[in-house]
Amino acid sequence: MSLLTMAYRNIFRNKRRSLLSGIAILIATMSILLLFGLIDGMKDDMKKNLIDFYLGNIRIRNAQYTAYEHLNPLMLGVPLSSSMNALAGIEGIDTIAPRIKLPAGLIRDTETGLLIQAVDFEVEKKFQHIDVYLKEGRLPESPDAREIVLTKWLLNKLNVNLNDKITLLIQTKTGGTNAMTFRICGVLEYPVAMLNSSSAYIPLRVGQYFARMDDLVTEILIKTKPAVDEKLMAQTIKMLPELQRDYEIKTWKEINEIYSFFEMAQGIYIVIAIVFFILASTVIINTTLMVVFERMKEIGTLGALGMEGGEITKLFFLEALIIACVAAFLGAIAGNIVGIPLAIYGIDFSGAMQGISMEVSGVVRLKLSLVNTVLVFCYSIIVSACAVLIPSRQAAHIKPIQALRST
Amino acid sequence: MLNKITKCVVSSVAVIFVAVLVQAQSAEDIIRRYEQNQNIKTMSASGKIVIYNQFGIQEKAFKIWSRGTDDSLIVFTSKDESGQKILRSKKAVYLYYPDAEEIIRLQGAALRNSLAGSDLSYEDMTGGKSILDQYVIESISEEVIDTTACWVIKIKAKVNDIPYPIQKLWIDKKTYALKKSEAYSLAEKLLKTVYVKDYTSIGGFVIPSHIVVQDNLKKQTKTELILETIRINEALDPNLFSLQNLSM
Repeated sequence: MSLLTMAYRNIFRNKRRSLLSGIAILIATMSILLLFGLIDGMKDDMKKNLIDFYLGNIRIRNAQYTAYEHLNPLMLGVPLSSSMNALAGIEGIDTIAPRIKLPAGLIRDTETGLLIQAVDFEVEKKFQHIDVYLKEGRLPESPDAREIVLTKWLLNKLNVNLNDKITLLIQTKTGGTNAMTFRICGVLEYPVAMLNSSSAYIPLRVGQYFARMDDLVTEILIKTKPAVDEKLMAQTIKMLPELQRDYEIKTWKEINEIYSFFEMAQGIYIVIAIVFFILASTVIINTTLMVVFERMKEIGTLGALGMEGGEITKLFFLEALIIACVAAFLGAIAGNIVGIPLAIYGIDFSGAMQGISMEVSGVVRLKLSLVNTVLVFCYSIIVSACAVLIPSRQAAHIKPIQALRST
Repeated sequence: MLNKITKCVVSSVAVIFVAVLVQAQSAEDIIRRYEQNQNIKTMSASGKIVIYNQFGIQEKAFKIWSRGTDDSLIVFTSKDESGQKILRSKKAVYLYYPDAEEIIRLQGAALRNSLAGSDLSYEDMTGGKSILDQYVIESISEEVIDTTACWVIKIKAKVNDIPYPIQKLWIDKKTYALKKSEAYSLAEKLLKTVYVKDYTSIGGFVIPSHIVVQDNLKKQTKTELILETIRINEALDPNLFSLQNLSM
């Protein structure tokens, strides 16, 4: 009879104990798979939000703008016409979205602050799919319409309604002030809490006139076509004579530190997963140790019959390994079964995300992948196997005489 | 002996007290003379604000009309601010912008905002009340600034709702015009410095015509306020300082 057959049969000698060990591995595998799915889902969501709403794949700004951003330095802008002409010749660009960020005050009984962005709505339909997030009303009718779209959250905060008129006070490029009256023509609702608390859009041309920007914009966002290397493209843009000096050209990853933190955190999560598996493996270690002590006479008999110490180790190791393999497999399947509805419908964190400055959507969808499933399955088996090696080796050190004498 | 010493001390204290009293009175007189110099019935002028900051130099042209110490109207004439108006009445500051359908009444914290991006705030425009109604004199001394002999009078607010709780005024001994002023917070932190570079003498009044203002809470900024073509005590349209006129 082969060792494998013997080990397999031994599993069923105490079904409850084997089941307990299996369940521990199964739960660990399933949980880690779901955790990895959640982190991947968050990362994907954050990447999409950062590119679509905030930074594009590449952002062009005046080199000094970021340093003085707190002072709203509109004079440190990017010339729109010459930049657009220069960018037109570059292959691989999908959309170019020029924007002007304007901190504004709504003067009513008290001054309420909000950040308005002057954008080209036709471009934004393609860039951030702004029309998809329009819940009521419409987008401004023309590039010269003095109309504004606000988020529902801002509408409530400012205590105004659709079609109301609001007068906003801003600082102009030359440091002076200007006020303009806008009709609220549309209401937006974004999936990201941070966007909902700050998004208000006016037409780009109106914004340029309002802030006396002439041909300047505060930033130009570029969305690349799929499979285009954004780093390489950023380098190409930096070589353009029109944008060679005085401009900051960065990819979204270079700008956003939180995403980089996510990537770093992923490494930490792998360590956490290993610790989690080791904890789960204590159950199987415990079970194997109990089996070794329980079958002391049997080990003695096997030794007396001529079975080598290594073979005895293998026997117990195989027994635990079979349990770990089956449990990890079932855990991976269970993880995917639980994960599929969470990947479709997502987990609602919107309550917890309110007031948090993070570009993650309120509803986060899990991202399940075959790579993660195989990786977690293998982790589970490797960690369990390593853990079970210790008690299995103990069985090999037992002398047949001592084993046979034991009660 | 003891009686003599007591008498001596009492008489010395009395002399010092009388001297301080005399000086305090003269400080009040100086303030009154200084305010008298500002007591112009009407004034109109054109001028410019030159703002220096880390981003360069900005120039904004304007016309100004004032009536007494309470009412004034500023109309900007430079390209970027063309048509913008600031009306100050006894009660409030109002802003008119050609692209806004409503007149903005500034109050509370909004008054602390910068006027046209300069080192001046709207708050600096408010309050036509006499200095002596709002402040008490803390001390008086003398100093020469740029060959101009000045009284240096330190005043402390006796009311709460005031932009600058403590001020130091350098008043020209000859003309009783302001040469320099420093505004401080209650904790005596320097908030703003005003320095008068040039004056225009007209109709017996000495009017500061080139003023340098520095907001000491900001870095690398200063504002020059230059008044040209000053005319005083001419008849002005009584509706000039009305809200109705603001949006016309």
